[in-house]
Amino acid sequence: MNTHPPVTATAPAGIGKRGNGNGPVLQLENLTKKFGDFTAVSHLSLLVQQGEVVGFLGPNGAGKSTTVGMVLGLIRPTEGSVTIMGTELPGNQHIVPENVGAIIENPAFYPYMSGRDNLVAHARMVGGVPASRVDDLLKLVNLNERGKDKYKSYSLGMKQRLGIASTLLTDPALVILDEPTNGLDPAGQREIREIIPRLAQDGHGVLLASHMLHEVEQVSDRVAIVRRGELVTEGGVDELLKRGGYIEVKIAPEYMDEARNLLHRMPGIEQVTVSDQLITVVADPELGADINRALVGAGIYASQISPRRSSLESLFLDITEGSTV
Amino acid sequence: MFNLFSSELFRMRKRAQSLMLFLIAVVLSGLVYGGFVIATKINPEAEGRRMRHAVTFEEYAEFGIVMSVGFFAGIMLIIVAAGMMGNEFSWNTLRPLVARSRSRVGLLTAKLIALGLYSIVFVISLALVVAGFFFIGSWVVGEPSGFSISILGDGLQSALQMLFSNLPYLTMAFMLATVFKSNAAGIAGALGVTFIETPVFQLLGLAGDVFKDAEKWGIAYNVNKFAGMTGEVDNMTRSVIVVVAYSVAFIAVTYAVFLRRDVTSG
Ligand SMILES: Nc1ncnc2c1ncn2[C@@H]1O[C@H](COP(=O)(O)OP(=O)(O)O)[C@@H](O)[C@H]1O
Ligand SMILES: [Mg+2]
Repeated sequence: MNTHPPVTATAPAGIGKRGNGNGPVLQLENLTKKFGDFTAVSHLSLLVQQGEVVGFLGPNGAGKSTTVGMVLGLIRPTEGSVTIMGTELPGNQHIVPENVGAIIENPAFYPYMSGRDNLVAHARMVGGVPASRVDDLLKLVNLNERGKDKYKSYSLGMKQRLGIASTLLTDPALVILDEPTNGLDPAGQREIREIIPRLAQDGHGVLLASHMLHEVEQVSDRVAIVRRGELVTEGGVDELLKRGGYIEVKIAPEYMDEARNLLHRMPGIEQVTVSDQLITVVADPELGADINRALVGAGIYASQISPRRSSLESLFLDITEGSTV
Repeated sequence: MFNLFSSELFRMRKRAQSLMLFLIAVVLSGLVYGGFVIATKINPEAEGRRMRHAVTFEEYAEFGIVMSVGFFAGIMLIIVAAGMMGNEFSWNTLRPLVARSRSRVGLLTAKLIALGLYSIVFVISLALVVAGFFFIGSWVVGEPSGFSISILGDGLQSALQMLFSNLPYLTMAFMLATVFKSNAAGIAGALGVTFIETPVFQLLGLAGDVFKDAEKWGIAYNVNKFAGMTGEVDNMTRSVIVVVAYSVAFIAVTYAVFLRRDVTSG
């Protein structure tokens, strides 16, 4: 079943340190980015371990690409930290090319060069990549026959596949795919979806950012759902599907902060998100009565407490509908 | 840094534009010089011996180099300098480029060194091709070419000086393209300044002597001295300092902006 060429076996010393197995490949802590007054990413914490695919799911404008930009050292966090392979980012930009391969939103290569030359140019940039690796990777993504053709003559699917090949050049610990099936037809999407689990099998940690649930749920070990820059829920796909419960609590604005803090401390509650007059709590929907009792005990009266059960899909749909692009 | 530089050169080598701009400079220089030769040939009376001599190596180091390197190479290299960063924005390759660089300082420095190397090769090659034109031209008008190694040496030296004097425009194009994230901004801005600075100072000069003094600290006045085009050829040291100062300032602004900025596009 695992018949692709052993592209990782040729990794040279010095790069591709993904085998060390200590701690997470990527750790985001309390990561926040403000553009002026606008908060694009808010207090986001997330882990990616070696050999797992973490789906990073959220509607357009949720802050996924901004987060990816911070991981790559393109965007400076307003607050919080990015740690890659145990090294914290600002000031250590060198760890990015050595440990991270990424497609950012759309595959972007030099149009006047062939796909192969684009990979060679990338390999030269980082250094230490064996010459044979370029051709191995072209084979991996089924581009070996078109490798010498100009990039600008490629179909979108070929461009995306070249993008995936380039993420693997340095045999990085972390592979980031930001909307890797953007604009692809179903066949193209399937091709990409087939490659992703192989990356994890080969030991890479994969962060897969997408606004499409079906793209993420099939290939991810864990999913983190974001809305308006905030992490709404996170967990194993199976676990989320099974659990999939949350409770909405409607509260007058003046009690918002107090209620939020209270709910944060309550046992059995995993995630508290606040928007407008609504607190969304990820918890067993049976917990509604307990929540009510706790709030009343603190002198806060909720105008509405609605338990919701949902599949991952309806959870995601609710989230998506609740936000504007 | 070396890796980034090597990759930058690889991409320049693979790009048709790198050679094409050189060929355009050659053709344009050939057309100007060719026009000169034809005029001399058809109308030998025109300016008598003086004009016939101007076609030979006697004028190589001045007319030949000022026209080809000072003018045409100047324009082509502004296009290249703006494109070094500007194209990365239009191709959307800047974000991956930064993500693949160990540092942004290294990235900019590699680009500037690659630009410098390309410019030197461009200018020397163009000067040599134009030397070839002077052989052909002398032969066409039936004059001895007057070639000597020392004239060729003078020409090459003057070509490099002229490249040096162009540094403010090249670094300005690089800076504008980086700051405004646009190839066109770099080209239009640097070319625009090339053409308007002198006339603007002349107009202001009518308003008062202050501006006449100010012009001496401008770019064009000092740059033109290297082409022997400004009246007084005294005080070259000051001109060297002014040229270096502008170039360093433009590069400093480029680093300051690019190192701090969030790269959210390109
Ligand atoms: N450079 C920027 N300046 C201001 N706002 C920005 C900038 N980049 C992104 N944003 C805003 O941040 C939000 C998150 O964008 P993004 O991270 O691209 O979302 P996603 O990738 O999840 O679709 C959007 O509302 C977007 O308009
Ligand atoms: Mg995005």
